[in-house]
Amino acid sequence: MDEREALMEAFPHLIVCCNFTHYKGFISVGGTNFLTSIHVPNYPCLAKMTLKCSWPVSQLLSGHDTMLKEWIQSDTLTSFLKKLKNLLELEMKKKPIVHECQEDFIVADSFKLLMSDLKKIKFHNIVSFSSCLKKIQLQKVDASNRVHVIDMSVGEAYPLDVVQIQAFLPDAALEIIRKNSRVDKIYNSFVEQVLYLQRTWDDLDLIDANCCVLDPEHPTRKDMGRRILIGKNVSIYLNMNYEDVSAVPSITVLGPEQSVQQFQSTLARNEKLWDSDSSTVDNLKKVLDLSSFPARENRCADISLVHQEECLICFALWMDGEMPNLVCENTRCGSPFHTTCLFQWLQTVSGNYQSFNQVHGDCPNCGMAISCPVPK
Amino acid sequence: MQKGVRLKRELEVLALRPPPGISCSPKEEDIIDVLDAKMIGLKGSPYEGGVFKLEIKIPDKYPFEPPHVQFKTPVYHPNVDVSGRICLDLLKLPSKGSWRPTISLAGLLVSVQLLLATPNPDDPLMADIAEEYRYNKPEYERKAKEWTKKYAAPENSNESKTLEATSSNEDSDTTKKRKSDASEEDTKDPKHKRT
Repeated sequence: MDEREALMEAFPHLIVCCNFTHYKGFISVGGTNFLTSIHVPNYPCLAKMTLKCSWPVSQLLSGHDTMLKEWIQSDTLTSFLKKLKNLLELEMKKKPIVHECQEDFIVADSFKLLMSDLKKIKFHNIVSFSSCLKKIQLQKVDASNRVHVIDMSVGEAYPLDVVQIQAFLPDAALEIIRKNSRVDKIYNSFVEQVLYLQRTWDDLDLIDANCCVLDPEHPTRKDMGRRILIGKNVSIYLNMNYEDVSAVPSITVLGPEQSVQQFQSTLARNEKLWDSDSSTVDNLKKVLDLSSFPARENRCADISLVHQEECLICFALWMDGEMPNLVCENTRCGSPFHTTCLFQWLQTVSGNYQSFNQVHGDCPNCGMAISCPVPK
Repeated sequence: MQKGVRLKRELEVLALRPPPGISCSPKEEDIIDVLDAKMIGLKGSPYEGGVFKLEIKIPDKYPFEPPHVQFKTPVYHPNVDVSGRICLDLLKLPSKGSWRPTISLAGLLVSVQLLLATPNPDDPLMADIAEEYRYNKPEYERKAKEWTKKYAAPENSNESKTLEATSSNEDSDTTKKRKSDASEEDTKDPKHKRT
């Protein structure tokens, strides 16, 4: 019998391509099929042949390299593969690999499922994905041209492994999205939430553009609340309603008692003026009786509490006509102080001692030892 | 001498960039050493959603002496007593406490806000609340929430203010009146329940 016929008879699941130099298909060992790909460039001679197989098979063959090389020297392809099959059968009895094979299949199934789920999402909404499809980034561009992005990490046993998601959406919205397990369902739910919150974001964008927002410092679309400056020392905490986007947001006034009372009574009086058809900024002006919001320009100015070179006790540069003339010797601290300020502090703390004309104590900033001359 | 210069700077910055959930400003114009502060209870604590009033008195020796900080809103808390006094080591001079002149008002208020959310039962002012906090936390949380709703709900600050002005010392009387205010509040406005 021709060697080629014998091969096909012994390994019917192996498909020959390219003039008997390439073989692809399965070798069945003890009822399990192993995916294999063989390249025999000098057929029928086996020299320089390559054998590609799945991870569990390569694990089974590890340690038999010399034997395999010997076979390549002497055998035909058919006898080589028969020997290989016997070897695998023997090795499989020693350490069963059934479990690993099953896992392989689940991953393959998951992959198929993931691909078919991904196909349901329009291509231009897919921003990126990692090579193993474990990390997928999708987007939705809304009516106001805002780009919303959702990151998903898919587990190996998709969809049994929970898909982890991340997106700049309020927690309540994320909770709803997390109820889905399939990528396309998650994306649809994400789009639903994005569209649902359109109005809220339009409102919040207007607020961010027109008002002095104190908190959060860098608002994101996760934040449904804003602290807005409405007067000197007076601010309001505005919390948009997630359950009902057209509802009046909750407003809490913070500030000096008198102003708070004044604004609160204004709010109570004007409550009915809130018009759900116009924007929150306009509504706020109406119900708070404001002609405009305090400007935001102060935000950019340098308004730190203590500037470099200023005394860390009086927060000023000049004190009694002197600049800070003492520096904490701890190099990591190095805080500047006026002698008068530091001296007064070291004297206030009980337990500090004075020797000659120096007071010894701890640096009020870092706690390391510091000493200060008695001021003249 | 240091007091005026430093306070002025601190108040300027507090007006422009107050810490999250905190406001602080002079009680009356021109008198800068009695301050009014408000803080919002931190999320996740039983004080969430409440607005708590504090009064800050700046001593003449400030910043060499710590400010006197006191709650004006009744708080159910192991480290705050019935008159609103706070047990916090930052508010005491060494060696009893750890006040240092490098601490700013903003920093101090943030510490108080944090203490409010995370009580320290090892150094209590109210021994019974501390014990409850330690051994019966659900009950402590329930009461703290109840007090927050009763006294610190943002909308009833109008009423409680007037109460404070008329009967600041008669605690029992105040409590009764406040209770009636709070029950009115319950029926009124559902929107603040979810924040």
